Amino acid sequence: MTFSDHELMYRSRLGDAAAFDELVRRWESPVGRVVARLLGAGSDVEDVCQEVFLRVLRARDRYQENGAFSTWLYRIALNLARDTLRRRKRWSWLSLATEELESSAAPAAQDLDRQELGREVEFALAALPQPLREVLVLKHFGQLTFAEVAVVTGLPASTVKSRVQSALERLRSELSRRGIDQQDLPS
Amino acid sequence: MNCADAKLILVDLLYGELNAAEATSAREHLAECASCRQELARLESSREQLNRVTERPVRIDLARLCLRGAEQWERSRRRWRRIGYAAAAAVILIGIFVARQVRFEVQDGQMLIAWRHVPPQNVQPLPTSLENPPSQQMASVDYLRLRTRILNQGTDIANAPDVFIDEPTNSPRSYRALRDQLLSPNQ
Repeated sequence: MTFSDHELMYRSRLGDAAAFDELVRRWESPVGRVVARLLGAGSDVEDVCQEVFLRVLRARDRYQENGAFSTWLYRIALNLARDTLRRRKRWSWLSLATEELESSAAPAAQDLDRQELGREVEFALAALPQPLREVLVLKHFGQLTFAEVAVVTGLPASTVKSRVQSALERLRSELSRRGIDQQDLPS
Repeated sequence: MNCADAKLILVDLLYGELNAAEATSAREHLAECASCRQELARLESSREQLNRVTERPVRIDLARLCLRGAEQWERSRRRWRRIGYAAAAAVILIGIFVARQVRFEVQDGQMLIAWRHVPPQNVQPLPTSLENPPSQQMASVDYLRLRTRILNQGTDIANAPDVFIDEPTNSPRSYRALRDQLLSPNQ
């Protein structure tokens, strides 16, 4: 029998540990995907994901079934990712800026295998301004509707749409800047 | 539908978020408009690139999660206990300080609450005439007591005999000196 997210939260509140485990197993990949793309390269993705579910665990008594569970979960993930990025920025003077290192090496598309191409796209995504990256990641990797992204980010749906469109256009030009012509990419 | 309208819903079309009627209308426009078709193709191509990003599966360690939760709970409990102790100590110290500084007295049927600026032992007997003005500031509680009496009895201190006997201390005092003190900027 499959329970909905709300039911699992309710059962977990009543002390059903298996219900919380199931909730974590159901959402760890989607949340991990979104957090990884929001943070870009870095080793703290797992820690942030862990913290997301820890907050869910702590908030289970206060949890109310208004709206989709996914938007609530992604809002927690987004806030934690923002905090992590802020912390990273604060400490960035201690380390070399990885972004600069990455952008200096722009190999020709024909030399890239599929995995390297994936990395290049990842770097291009990380180079997007944070407001654009957030909506694009939530829309594409979180597979949310525009209305749901609007709920998560607190922006009007029309702003979300225009930001997604701008993000896709910026991504394209960023890939071109890195010497990747999209026609040449292997399918 | 014209190009301006179409451009507003290209991302909706891209992510399949238009209803059937809107989608049909948009496709009809695209069939006739090469520019919008090209725009949609560009957005589609950028979206496809995002699928090339390498997946790094995130696995939440539930045992670690519970352990971390328990640690955080314990840390927060300890922090609140420390804050509680500090607050209680602060309240006790402030209470002792206030109790030592404030004097409560009932004078002429009125409750007087006064802040003790000068310890009573430092109050010296007042001079008996204007020729010998008071050399020392009277205690605030004495000012208040005398002011209350003057107001209650309606004494016109301009025409009153200059010297009166202060009952609590049974010592002579000068009304004019008292008036000067009451009207002085320090009051």
